[in-house]
Amino acid sequence: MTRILLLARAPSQARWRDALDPRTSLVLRAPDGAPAFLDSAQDWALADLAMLAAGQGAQAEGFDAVCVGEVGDFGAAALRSVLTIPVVAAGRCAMLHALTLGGRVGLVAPDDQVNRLRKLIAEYGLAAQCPVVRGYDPRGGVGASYEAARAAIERDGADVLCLAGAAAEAARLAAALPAPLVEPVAVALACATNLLALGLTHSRKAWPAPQTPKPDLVARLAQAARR
Amino acid sequence: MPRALVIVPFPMDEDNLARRRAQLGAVRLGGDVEFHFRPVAIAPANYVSQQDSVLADVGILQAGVEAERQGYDAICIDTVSDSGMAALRSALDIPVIGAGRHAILIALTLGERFSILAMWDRWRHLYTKTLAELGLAHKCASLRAAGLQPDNQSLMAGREDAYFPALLEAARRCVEEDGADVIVLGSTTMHEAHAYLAERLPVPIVNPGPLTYRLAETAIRLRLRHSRIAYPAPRDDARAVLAAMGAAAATPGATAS
Repeated sequence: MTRILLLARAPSQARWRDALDPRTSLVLRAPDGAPAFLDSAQDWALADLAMLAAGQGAQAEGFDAVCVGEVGDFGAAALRSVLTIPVVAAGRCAMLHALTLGGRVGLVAPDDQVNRLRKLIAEYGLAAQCPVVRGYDPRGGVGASYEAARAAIERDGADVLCLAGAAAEAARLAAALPAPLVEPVAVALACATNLLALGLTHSRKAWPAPQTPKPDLVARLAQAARR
Repeated sequence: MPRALVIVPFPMDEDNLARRRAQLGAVRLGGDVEFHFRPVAIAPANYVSQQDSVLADVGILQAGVEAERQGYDAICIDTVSDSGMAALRSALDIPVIGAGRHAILIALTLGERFSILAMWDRWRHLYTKTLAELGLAHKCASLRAAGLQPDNQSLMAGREDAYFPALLEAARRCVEEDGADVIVLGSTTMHEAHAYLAERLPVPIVNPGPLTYRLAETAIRLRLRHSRIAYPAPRDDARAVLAAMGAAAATPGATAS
């Protein structure tokens, strides 16, 4: 039995099992102490810590892979530095998978995640490939995400979309749009499954281990944030 | 059960086709897709020039253009050149997985910079083309060749003792001198060296052929295929023309020059 830990603030009822091999156990865990909003760099620092705390023990707990189920990829780099099992992140996976389907990627996400996505695009060196980032107000329901997606295609010229925050409606939206729609958490889970099947994990060169691991401190800080 | 067609980029006999099919043993498959291997009828002698690329594109297109009508649910192209991928994507609605760009993109989930390890430098044009199309040359640490003569039929059979250490030496230089976090094997004809290299190198090594099988499974499960905006359909149906080309290539002596 393969065990994958999915870290996400608000696990949804999306059909993520379609992405997995048979005999895979998917465990959903919301990180304790994560900030309520993700607009600012302060929020990002706290989210990084919350995700690191939630996942740093995954290997010892017997998981085979960790998936950071947030397009902001919070804590993913830190988790890669302390774990040797694969750590995949929804934002990075979505962008790279979208590039297998088209050449001009449109990222569509709740408004509070737009700045974070712009930062990641620059950090990943994908500015030319992911030139379109559109936000929507999640209080507007599926209509708001649909309108933003259409605008990304018709006004911004995207030929493939990554749509965050609408996993439960992804299939319905995909059927209504003229460009393929990548649901980030689903492709991240597929990526984790594929890496395990191929015997691959992230590079230690890119994400070196700390000289002095501090898991206890990380755990105490996350617990303090929960209070 | 869904079926995926693996297009092998050279005509070959059953023994040599088995060497290509052996790539299935290098990956744990989900068990929900069958893989069928088909060699092309039209091909260059090897992939060292842009003339070869034109023949490769047409050959792979001809081999795969009827796949959807034949009931296949996806195509994997067994060459890192991605020859024929764009043409097949324009003509078909089923997913078409090219080994080259998919290997590069998965490498970027494993590290920040990758090297492509090749048998010889005469394949360089294949990689520079794909890197330019993706706009990802800045993520490529190096293109290194081991100075070895490839054989697209018998692969490395009988030459392992000479070839594997040479590939390892070139791969080490990618890591130690060029700064690669990840290495991508530059050809599916190199798959027999993957396990040897993976055991001895401190970075992940992407094996492109087996990767395409997993990505075909993913594409079928998630119902994801290429963008019609990026790959618009042709206005004319060229299947009859391609069939005639295939017949012409099968004429004795047709492929000698």
